[in-house]
Amino acid sequence: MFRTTLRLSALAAFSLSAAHVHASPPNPSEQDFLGELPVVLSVSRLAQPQSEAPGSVTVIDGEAIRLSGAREIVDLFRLVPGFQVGYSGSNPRVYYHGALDMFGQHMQVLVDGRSVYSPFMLGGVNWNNIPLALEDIERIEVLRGSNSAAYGSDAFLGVANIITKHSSQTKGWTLSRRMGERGADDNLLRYGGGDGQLDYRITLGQRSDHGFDGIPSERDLRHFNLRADLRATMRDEIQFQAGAVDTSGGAGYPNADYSHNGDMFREQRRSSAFAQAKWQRTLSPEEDFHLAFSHTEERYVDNFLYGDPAFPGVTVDYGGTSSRDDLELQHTFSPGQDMRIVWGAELRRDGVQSVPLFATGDTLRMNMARLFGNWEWRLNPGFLLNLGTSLEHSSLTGTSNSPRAMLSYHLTPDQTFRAGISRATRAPSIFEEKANVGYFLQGALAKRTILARGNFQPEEITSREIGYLGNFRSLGLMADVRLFHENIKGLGQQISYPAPFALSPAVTNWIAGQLAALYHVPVSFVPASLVNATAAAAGLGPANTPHDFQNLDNPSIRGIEWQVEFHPTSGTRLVLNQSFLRIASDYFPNSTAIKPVNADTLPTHSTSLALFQKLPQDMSLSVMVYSVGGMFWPGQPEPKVIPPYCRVDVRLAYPFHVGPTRGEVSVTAQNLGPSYYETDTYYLFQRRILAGISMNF
Amino acid sequence: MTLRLAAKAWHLLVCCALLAVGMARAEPQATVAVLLSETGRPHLEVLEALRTELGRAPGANIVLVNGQEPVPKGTALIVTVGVSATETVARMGAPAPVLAILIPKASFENLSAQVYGREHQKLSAVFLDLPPRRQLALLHQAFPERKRVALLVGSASEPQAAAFSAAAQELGMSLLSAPVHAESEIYPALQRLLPEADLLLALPDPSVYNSRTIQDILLTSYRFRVPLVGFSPAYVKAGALLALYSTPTRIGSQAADMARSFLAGRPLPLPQYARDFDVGTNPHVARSLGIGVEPENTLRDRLRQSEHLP
Repeated sequence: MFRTTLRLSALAAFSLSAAHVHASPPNPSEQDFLGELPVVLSVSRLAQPQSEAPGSVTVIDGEAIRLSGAREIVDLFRLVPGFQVGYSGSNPRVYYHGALDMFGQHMQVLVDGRSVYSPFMLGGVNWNNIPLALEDIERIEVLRGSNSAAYGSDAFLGVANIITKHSSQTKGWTLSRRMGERGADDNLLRYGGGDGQLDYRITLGQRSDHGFDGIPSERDLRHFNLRADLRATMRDEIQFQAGAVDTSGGAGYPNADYSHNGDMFREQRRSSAFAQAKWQRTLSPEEDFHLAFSHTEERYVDNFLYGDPAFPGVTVDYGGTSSRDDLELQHTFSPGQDMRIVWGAELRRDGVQSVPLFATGDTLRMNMARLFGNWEWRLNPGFLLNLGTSLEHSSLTGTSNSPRAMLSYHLTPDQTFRAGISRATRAPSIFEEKANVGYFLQGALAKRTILARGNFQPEEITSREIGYLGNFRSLGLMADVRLFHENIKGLGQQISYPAPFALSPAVTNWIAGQLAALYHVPVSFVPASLVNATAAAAGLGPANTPHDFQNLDNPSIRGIEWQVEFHPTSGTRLVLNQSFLRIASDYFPNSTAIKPVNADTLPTHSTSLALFQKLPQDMSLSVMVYSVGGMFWPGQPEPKVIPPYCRVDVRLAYPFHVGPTRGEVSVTAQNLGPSYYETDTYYLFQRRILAGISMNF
Repeated sequence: MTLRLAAKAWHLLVCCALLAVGMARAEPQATVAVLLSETGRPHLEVLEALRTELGRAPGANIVLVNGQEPVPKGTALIVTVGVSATETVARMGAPAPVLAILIPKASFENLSAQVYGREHQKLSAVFLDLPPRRQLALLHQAFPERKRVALLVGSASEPQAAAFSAAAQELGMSLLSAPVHAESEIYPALQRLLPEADLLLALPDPSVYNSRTIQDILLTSYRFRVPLVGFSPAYVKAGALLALYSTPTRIGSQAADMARSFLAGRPLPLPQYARDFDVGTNPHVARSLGIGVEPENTLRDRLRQSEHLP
């Protein structure tokens, strides 16, 4: 009897506790163990290990971005072997291989897969026009060396893949401000929210500074960016991004400098906006595909009165608009355990519109269609073969093929040797094919400065490389060496050619009038021969020799680059990059081309060293040393000598917590040593001290 | 949708068939009532294992019950498959000794906290999770150089934290743990822990690890290059480097052994962990992080040997 009572009370208690279960915090159920989860680290989200990449990769992660004290994306390229940073007015440029890439148009730059390579003018990237805050970047992967097989033309010398943070990673409010010398004032306001299924963030940023002394290079950028990530089902993710940026900045050169033909001091306004949607379906950890569409627009307002006093009232205009629509499909899968295939297709439609640049009000179009694929085959534990190609058709220049083969040999899992060959192309821009730029007097054409004849063909590069990647785990040391030989065929040059035309009476009468005023005589006293001679001296009408783009140069470059990363302790990170280059060119030196490539137009060596050191109390110290060899910078009438320089940056940061708010105060000194020229002698980089504070709550 | 319906219909059909088989048997001596939380695939796998293993025991009769009606008279043992089945039987007043399976340890302990005492021989379990020492021993064997293990500890996993600490100490590993009381605390906690950690070990606690938070956790751990170690194959598929887990079939056959012993007149064994286990790895994540991982079977066999399992 006693036993039964006890048993009943025990069972009653058991049932009592069960009744309470629902009020307490959630108990794990078998579904926590057996339920389905979304594939988060899908094959296309995982970064390819450097030992298996078909080329050399420099990864700049979020930590390095923060610790470097960089104000803008271009600053980070100083940490990549072989890259230099320069300016054109307020517009920064990134050069790989020095002046060979004078307009920075030989490298593809993607932000979350969207190309920010501009279809306007000569191509290249308008770094001020990317609506993106450094704080939103997860990492930047710089693939050094041609990569058209995977990324299409424009990935001629390399690719920079900028990957932004998932919006689940930027929750809460972030405020930051940094101010300093030379008018530096950078502000950021970000809010991120969401519930794990739908996450989003909105970032507003502003950046301004006075630029360089003695030349208009001040700038003021305002940008906005939105990203939303929807986990629609366990397999489907939808990502939406939009952004806009508006920049005003100084441009132009001192008037006395004839090399720039009266490129007057002025203010430029550049703006761009984009929207992008991407649907990704992950079928398994080995297989996913995505479909992405983006639309980008750019607008340029840039005009000034021609600087030559002989031609008063002539307006020079570089303004216009561009648009780009891009649709991409990509599928990644493993047909076998030792194989992985990535393939896809891309359709792109570019349009540019500018009366002053094309002498037409029509929108000029370029359509591109591309098929690409890469086959990664693990022949055995030692050998890995990457075979890829990209077949591309441009409505302006026809079809081109960019194949690549790369064989990697893993001597051990940590020691990899690599050898490969690839061919890449750069498709001419609409401007290079169809430019028609002229100056008008009294409403009539007086001079054509650029008249493209449409003969410019895609530039081609064949590059051979061998590489080594060593990971010495016990020492905390990783080394990557790339030895390359690049042969470029038909590098574009601007060259002048005679294209005479008869001046209209309106123009000749205007010239006669100017001469009459100059000599204080009646117009009828001015002889026709003087009018003609004046017109000829100014290169007008019958003496007109506009520029065109031609595949003239065939330079070849040999070089070696290495990067060493050393983590002796968990609090110390040391990165050393070096690059040594030699260029040979068959181009004739006495040409009228404006950017002759020769042995001196790239720095023969460059070094960067970064030390990121953790200090007591979670403080951090960063020391960056950049040393770049001297070079000639092409220009008229003669190239300028850019002396070698060594720049030292130091950053000290102290984190703090106040309640739920986490923040950091920092001081950054850019170029502690003597001033130096940033690629061109107009841009003297003087010491800049900046102080910043950031908060997250 | 149609597919899902078809699958459900199929499961029901299988259940009915099993039920019919159970009913059709000649009335022997001992009835084992089985209550499933749901008719998902894992639950049916358990049932199948029970049937196969227990079917060999002379005189055992398996009856599937639905939780709405009382269990058949003369039921010797109720096997509850899943948490909600165990809760249901508790609400019914546990008319017979209960063997709870496919249940996480924390849930079982919460459910039975007040009924243990002198009559615990009437209640037993095979846990879904595996012992803390075994989990840490696997990490120790797989990554001897990765000694600092981070844990996010929520309300449901808190009781287990001490066992992990003790096991870590024994193995010469260090445990870095952070309490998490709300999902919004996960990311700050990871930012604090991961810079100092070599591995992040997930604990079954729905207030921390669930299908909404897993994305943030995996992306953050990947950014810090600190791999996540999960506790189910789904975690490996989602992006965890490794997981140690037991399968429904293995748990079912362990439960069948326990039931057989009970039916043979011995007392119900104490609640216990799964005897056997599997190891899952994600070679893509390993490769991307540059971490060498041995084949799943090698890891599993070595762990078994270290525990002197057959």
